[in-house]
Amino acid sequence: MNQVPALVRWHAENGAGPHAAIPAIGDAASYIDSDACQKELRIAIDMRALQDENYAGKGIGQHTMFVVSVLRGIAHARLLGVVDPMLPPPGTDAAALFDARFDMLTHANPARGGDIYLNPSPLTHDTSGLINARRAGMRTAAVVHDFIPFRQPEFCANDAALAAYRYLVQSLAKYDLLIANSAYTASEIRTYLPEFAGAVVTLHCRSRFAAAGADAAPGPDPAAPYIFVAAADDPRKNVEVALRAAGQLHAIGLRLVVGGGFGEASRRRLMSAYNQPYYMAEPAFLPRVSDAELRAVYERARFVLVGSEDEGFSLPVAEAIALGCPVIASDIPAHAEQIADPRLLFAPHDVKALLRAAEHVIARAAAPASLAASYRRFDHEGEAVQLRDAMADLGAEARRAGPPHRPLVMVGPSFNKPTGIAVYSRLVMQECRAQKRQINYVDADALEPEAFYDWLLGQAESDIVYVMGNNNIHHSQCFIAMQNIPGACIMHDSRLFEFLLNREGPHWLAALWNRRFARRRIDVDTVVHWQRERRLLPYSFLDPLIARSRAIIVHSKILAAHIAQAYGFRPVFYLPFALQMTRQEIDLVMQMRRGRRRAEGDTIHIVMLGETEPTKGCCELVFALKMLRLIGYDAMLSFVGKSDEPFRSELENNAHRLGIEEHVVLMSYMSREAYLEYMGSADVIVQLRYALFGQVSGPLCDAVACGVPVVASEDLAAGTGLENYCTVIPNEFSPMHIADAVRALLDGEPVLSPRPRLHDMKDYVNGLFDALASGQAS
Amino acid sequence: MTGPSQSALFSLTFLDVSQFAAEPLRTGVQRVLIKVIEHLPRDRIMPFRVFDETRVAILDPAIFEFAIRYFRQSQPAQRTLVAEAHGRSHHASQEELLIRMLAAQPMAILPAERFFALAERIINLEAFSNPVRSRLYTSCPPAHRGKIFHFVHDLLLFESPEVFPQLNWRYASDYVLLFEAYCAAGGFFVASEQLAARLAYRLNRPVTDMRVVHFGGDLAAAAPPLRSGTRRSVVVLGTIEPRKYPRMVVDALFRIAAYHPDVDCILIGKWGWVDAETRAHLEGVLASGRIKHHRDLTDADVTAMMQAADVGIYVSSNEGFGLPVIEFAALGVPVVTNAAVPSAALVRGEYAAVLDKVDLAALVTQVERLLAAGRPEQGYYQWRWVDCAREIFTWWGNAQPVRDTGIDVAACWQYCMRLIRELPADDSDIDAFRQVAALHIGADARFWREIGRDAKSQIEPARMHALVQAVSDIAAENRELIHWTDLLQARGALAELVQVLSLSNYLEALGRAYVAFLGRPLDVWAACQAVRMQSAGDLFGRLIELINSDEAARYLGARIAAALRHVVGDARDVIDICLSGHLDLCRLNECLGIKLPAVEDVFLAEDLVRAEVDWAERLLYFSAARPLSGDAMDLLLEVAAGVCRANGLHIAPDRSGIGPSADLILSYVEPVGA
Repeated sequence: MNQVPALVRWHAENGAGPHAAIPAIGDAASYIDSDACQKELRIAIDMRALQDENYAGKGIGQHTMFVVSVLRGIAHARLLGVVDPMLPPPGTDAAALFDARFDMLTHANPARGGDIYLNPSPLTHDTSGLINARRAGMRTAAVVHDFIPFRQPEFCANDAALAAYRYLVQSLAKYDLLIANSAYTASEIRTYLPEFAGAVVTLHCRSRFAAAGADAAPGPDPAAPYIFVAAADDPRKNVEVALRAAGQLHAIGLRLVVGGGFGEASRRRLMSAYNQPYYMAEPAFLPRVSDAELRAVYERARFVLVGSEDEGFSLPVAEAIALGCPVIASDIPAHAEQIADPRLLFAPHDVKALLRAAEHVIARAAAPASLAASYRRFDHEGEAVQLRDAMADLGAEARRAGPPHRPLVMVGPSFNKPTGIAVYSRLVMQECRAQKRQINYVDADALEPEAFYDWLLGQAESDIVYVMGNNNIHHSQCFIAMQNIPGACIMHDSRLFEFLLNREGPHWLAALWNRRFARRRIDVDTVVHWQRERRLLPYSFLDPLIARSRAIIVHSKILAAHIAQAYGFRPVFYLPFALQMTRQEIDLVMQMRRGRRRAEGDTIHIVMLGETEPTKGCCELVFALKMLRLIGYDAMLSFVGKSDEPFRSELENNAHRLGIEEHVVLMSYMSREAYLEYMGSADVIVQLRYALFGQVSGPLCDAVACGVPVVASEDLAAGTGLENYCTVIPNEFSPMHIADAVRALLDGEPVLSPRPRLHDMKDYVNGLFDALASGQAS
Repeated sequence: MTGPSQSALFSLTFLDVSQFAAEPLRTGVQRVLIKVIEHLPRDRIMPFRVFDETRVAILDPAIFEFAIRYFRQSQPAQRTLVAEAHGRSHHASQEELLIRMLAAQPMAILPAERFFALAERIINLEAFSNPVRSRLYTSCPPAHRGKIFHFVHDLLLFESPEVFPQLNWRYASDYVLLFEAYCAAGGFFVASEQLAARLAYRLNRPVTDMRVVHFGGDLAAAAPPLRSGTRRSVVVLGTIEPRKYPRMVVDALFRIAAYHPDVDCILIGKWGWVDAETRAHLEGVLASGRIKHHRDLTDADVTAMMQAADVGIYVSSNEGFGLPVIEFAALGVPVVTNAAVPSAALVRGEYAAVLDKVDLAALVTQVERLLAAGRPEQGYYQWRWVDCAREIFTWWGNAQPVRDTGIDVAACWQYCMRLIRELPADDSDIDAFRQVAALHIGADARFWREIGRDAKSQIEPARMHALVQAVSDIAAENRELIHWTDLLQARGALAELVQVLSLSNYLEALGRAYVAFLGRPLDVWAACQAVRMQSAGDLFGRLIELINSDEAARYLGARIAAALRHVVGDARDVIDICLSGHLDLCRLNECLGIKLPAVEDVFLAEDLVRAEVDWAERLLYFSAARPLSGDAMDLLLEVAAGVCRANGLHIAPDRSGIGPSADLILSYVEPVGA
């Protein structure tokens, strides 16, 4: 594992960041393998809960910090933070808890040399960390916070989201140790995972606040008494019950102060539940505040109200208790675990019960010591010891042995789908079967979400090869599968820009770029501009694939070099694109060509093979045709492939504007026979691509195999090793470059160079399996 | 109507100034255009612009003079500076405004077919990406294509598109139309043998269709070199853009300045597009103070610095020609350049270091070598712009050379234009007008004097008759044509005037007046949108400035210009109020109890026949009576008269011939109380 850690590279690209406090690691591998480290308990901790802004600042993030701080107390333990480069870096406070940090790169994750993998939030992110850890033989542990989406499926956006959540829950069974944040959650684990054979320990969440002492605490504000409604901008937090009770609470002189940083739209929605006259003081909605400010809000409140419909454990209740603030809460199991006196609990939607609880707490607040006894306090120290012991025991266990055999699965589009990738994959599998390779093929995108996740759950021990394209329609679930179960990837497209744009949106892409290139920040307008002008795209946005791949197989040398250089990714393999024409087809085309003689005055037939797209220089090709005709070449141009709107109209309009519409042929559908016929009749074939990180053209290989004179753009030809068999024009080509090249082929002396021996599918499959083996070895 | 009679007016070389007239800039290509124009025989060339795909507009040759003056003035004219100092925001200099007005006010509009058939030669010295222009050239019948010559400065757009980050060939079909226009030409001028060969290949034409001409190295006469004592200087010329190796050049200058404290390192050039990182680096180096960066120098200052330099640097990865290299050479300044600059081949030798590969060490080494060697006694590039102009003018390619007729044909065209303005005639009778025009010309000694003949008897009768007929025909035809396109194209004063009136709620009245007089609706709002809104007072002042300029008299005709001056000069009260910005004309009307003019008010002018009338009414009468041709000045005149009429202005008696003083002009452009 000799690799400069991605951490160091990340620092270099992004300048000094909040993680500057981490000890500099010159060589991650040597650190892990050092004698000192070897003797210690190496715990690799998944840092995504501390990176993701959706969780880092909330309960999950807080509890994660607590868990990590507990583990810091294990003697001879090294805490290795495993970061996901797809998320923002963790904050300074979080980063300071770790001895080292590493990128979550599957193939060379030094943390794989660790003993235990701990996931502080297994139900919020994919299972890639778990799968990698198991494959590395590590023992695994996870913190479980709640199972709310199971109990409240309406909180899931759709069926697919619920199916995804179910998958994550079911994946918990693969951990060796689960750490519940409450006794309630621990009991839920047994309910939802009856098959779970590992240990469950409980580590209750701990308040970030500790009581300051009787003299320091300011006490309730007598001038403007209020009830602090501890909530968040989440319907589950059930602020409505407090708002409906506001009138009666006003009657006893208490207004509401609602925490949680509600946005304007949410506030308007909530206020529809507030039915008080205008002259009554409206609830005050607090913005997001600092810890110190929040503490003051707690301490100055008459009491705290938590009306949540469901929780695994309630940190607001714990914080109120810790600060000695009276608190009432909804009578959900998590609150019942924290509040012993049932009279301080109320049914979540029962205003009267809430009022009764309010009355009760106000009365009991007169005797704080007595009230304090109504709340349960947990033995955090004792639980911490338990957890440390459990982790130490886990670390002492032998490394996990993998299965004797891992089934090999290829995930790609069904063979009947109308895409080039589907056709190619069919041929690959055909050859695999001919070679009696043990590999199954699955179209993950053909499965309904529930079936997909059921299938995914069963693949934890499989070696998967993902066939990825840039198209959401055919590769969306394939992508999800890869995010959860890392594997090898055959990358047919050189970029994921369009895929990610459709999946995540322009803001996400801008955020990804800004994390990667902090000194060259962009905004959404730039992303939109790149979408319109694809040739200006300066980055391939392959990060999600790179972060989850053991090995990447590409069909362009240019792309292989780009991935290695731009992402520092080692196990990328160039595998020459296999010729898709059969021997008979090649012979047929060559026979057609031998039989034709172009006489003086015959129309010159220029052909472009493949679907028309702007990035293939189709407009420039139309312009080149015009220029050729102007200087006396009687030429016509055929686009031999699908030509759909709106680009088709653009081509037609261009041809019309230049007065050459009669000499440009566009098609809607093209049969294999027609394809071969056009290849046989072409005087020149032109295959072009804008230089977007190394692209491939199957028809280019076909044309070269059949000995047809070909014009190709520089990277397209060089990427497939065919530059000596084409007339090459610059990547930044103009119509004049195309016209010059066509003229050179038509007017020049034919060069009788031997046709190259192109890879056939047999070579391809052999190469594929060699690459897969190499990828696994690394 | 074609024929031998009209051909008398076309014994000229017609020069396409469409691009320059549309957008006067100071690019290198336009510098070539101007330098050539300066040295072409002015009586043998005539400017034209492309009017639309089927017509050309013959322009007043005065535009040549303004073009040359515009190019010499790198700063706006003095009066414009004064106006800007007082808060006005118009940007055009006097020359630019007049170029645009002259381009918008052609002397005649001709069908392209007739133009191509009759013109002896047509030369275009600028590239363009305008499909209308391309289609016009492409429409030339094959029989006449031999007369069309284009100057092709480079093929960079086609050969090196990567040099132009803004260029996206997917959307650049206009350049294909340019290529088509080239294919329809008879011959080409180029500045190097290499380009000649490449162009010949690309157009599939014999190389004999290309004429290599030599650009001139002579710059405008400069002040004596600014050599300060023992200090030496290294001067770099060129826009700061990626292809000029900006980082390398600036780093080289920094090193030279460090190693040679007696050498001033000077960078002359605007910021072009460079990425943020490069710009930050360059700004950091420039901030060190070791390199002087000049961005907005006059041509004279640039020339002086070049002349005083001990070494010049001009390097580029992609270049059409590289004028600065030969300019340094002509000044006798040793130069460091590179092989990718075509002009390098013309100066390679003892005093010019031509790098095959541009790198920092090589740049510094060669500069130091040339500094040590010292300057030559004289320039080492001998070609001048007069030579270039002669090469262009004397090459006929495949066209048939035409001898000088001995008549100042340009003067004939100008006379045509005056005829339209000066001859009263019934609108509808073109034949009658033609006859009147012919009689007038025959009797007008001024005409014969201006065309170069003191006595018409020295011209053969048949030829004289043909000439008279030609002039009459053109005048008659064009008075029928509305040869001023629309307000969107007639920028400058007219659009500004429209703005004044729009602000004063006179827009509707203007539109009605236009319909009444010219029978054509006017999209005034579109015109207003073409020009930025300014205060009424500012714009009125600008208008006054313009019509008081010397050129206006020559352009408008002395009588009209004088009339306008009188109208404006004696409407001082109104103008002062407008300039103060406190009242607009609409409010003024309210104060004076005057209602806004209606169509009827305008029509009333035609009924005025009494001798003793106020000048505004006489002006209105004059406007109604004179033949209308829809030019910009017509409208300006009409509306100014309408404004005065509506305001009941009384004008003092004629002070003909005495124009306002400079002080008076300036007082109009200074706001009251400034």
